[in-house]
Amino acid sequence: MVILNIIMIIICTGILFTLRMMRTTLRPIEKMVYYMVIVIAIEQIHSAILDNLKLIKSTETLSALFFFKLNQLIVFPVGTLWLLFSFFHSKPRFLIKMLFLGGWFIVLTGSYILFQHLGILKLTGWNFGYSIVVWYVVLIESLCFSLVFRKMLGKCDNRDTISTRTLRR
Amino acid sequence: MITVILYPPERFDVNEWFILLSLALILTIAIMLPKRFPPVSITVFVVFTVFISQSVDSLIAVKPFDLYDVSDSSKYEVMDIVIYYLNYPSLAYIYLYFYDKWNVKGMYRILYIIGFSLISVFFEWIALLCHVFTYKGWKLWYSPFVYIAVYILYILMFHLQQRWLKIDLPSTNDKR
Repeated sequence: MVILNIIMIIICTGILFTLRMMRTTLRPIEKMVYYMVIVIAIEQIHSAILDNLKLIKSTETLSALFFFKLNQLIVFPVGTLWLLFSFFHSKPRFLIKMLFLGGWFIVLTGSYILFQHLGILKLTGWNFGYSIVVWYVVLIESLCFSLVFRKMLGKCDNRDTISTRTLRR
Repeated sequence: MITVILYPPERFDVNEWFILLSLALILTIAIMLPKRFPPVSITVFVVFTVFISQSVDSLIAVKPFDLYDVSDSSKYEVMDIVIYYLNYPSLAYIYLYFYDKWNVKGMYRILYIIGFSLISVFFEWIALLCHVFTYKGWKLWYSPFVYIAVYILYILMFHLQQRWLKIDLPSTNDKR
């Protein structure tokens, strides 16, 4: 488990470094706020559905919690942030965005199955149906928030003047 | 078996009344304060507050630590949502409002953080008496240290968002 956590720390460091690559589309304030909203959505849904309905049973060790929290606080939110980035980026085609969405969903769904194999948690009722609901809610919550927040910042499609000014700096 | 996603309170007793009455008090104060921050900033404050409170609770209020329970049980309840989304953000707003209004600097900043932490500990003590929190290993004297750390984070976040929004929205701070 220690080696697994060390590997996870290295992966998370790499993932955090990728945040710098989002500069062209998301401003620092957006990255910070969207990240927090995604974490809130994931934790809230986790507590309300997975814990309350007893769909998973976590291994009650510190190392397992550390591994799970690294995923919950870094891997899942930053992955979702990249998905939002692709949605708001003007270059990728619709098909590419949908493929990215599919990839995001498969990775997140698969991660819980992987966690079970690694001994991090035990799935006691969790299935594909719940997975669709949970990640769909996380996505909708964070996407709706980001749309509203962009509107508040004055970033709306072609009228995105502030973004243009920021890019010129 | 009846499956519920968000549990209602097990009994509507003193802890629920405390949550609602304190909410009424704090929210009234927050709303009655003259407008100071733009909606974007208020959104950032609220999101940051929910993020911090929920992340800390989901880290130390679950096994293997399981140091305390919020409201009636360790389950995620409706009243938990009220605390996370309404009580805490209103208090955080008041904290940042006066921090900005009084332009707290230097030594006064330390005193302001300590003062607000002590007020928060006092509220937590009353909340503890009203069974809003059930300690299962947590001690009240741990709390001031956590509050001091959290209030420092608030100030860092406040200045960071101010700097970022100044770049993005030049009109944001012109009103002052």
